Amino acid sequence: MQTEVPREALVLRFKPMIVETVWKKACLTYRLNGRYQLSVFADVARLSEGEDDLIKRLLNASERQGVAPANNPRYFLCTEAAKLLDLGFTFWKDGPPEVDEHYSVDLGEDATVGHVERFVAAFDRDGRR
Amino acid sequence: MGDGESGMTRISIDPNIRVRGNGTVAGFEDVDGYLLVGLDVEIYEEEADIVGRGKVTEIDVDRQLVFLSIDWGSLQDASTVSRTENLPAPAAPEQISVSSPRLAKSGWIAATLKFCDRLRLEQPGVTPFGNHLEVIT
Repeated sequence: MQTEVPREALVLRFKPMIVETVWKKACLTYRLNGRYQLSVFADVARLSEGEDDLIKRLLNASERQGVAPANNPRYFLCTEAAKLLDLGFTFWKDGPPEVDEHYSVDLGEDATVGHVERFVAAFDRDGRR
Repeated sequence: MGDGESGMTRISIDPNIRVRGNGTVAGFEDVDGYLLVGLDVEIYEEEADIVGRGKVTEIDVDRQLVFLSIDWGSLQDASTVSRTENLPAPAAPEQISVSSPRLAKSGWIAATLKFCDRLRLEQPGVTPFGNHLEVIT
């Protein structure tokens, strides 16, 4: 089900980020639920929470808290929700028991590899700042 | 079939995909080795070069999907761990659970499933969807 995500939300995605591989994952999701979607972790910073803290919280939510942001961008990349929304993508939630910070970015019903190229290009931050 | 050293089934995953909580799903084309519900498998993501442990929770033959529970904390650099280190031993075959026996795309497989209640799936790893079924009697 489509849901609202604040434009300022930080969006984190673990690799793979190679377009060809990501397109295969979008097609896998299409086989699963009939929509071309790509999974991410996202949230807005809470009061007194810096970006580093937010990234750690997203890593915890993914149960990959062992990933050290200092070693990035080996494992994940980040962007703002606004960049994905401006590309016409939407955020979806499966509902419980889905992890709160987990979202599916919907590329549209007629998505192509071009949509995936734009999705990947939007992730231009390595999460080290 | 599977890991050449251990014989363990290996499955390529996208660590972002979460279903049924913090489980995940992969396609048959991502599987190298045989599949059984309850089977402990090695999961990996090639681009980040990470490996970890997972367990098969469901095999959807109709959609050619395999559902997995993952020990996300077990993911670590492949370069720092030997493939068989800290990974579970291959499980003994057990009865398979097929979520949807309607196999419109593979009529001969459907015929096999109709008459056999135990099977295992092997994938040569050469051609996607180039699977064949080996019946365990």
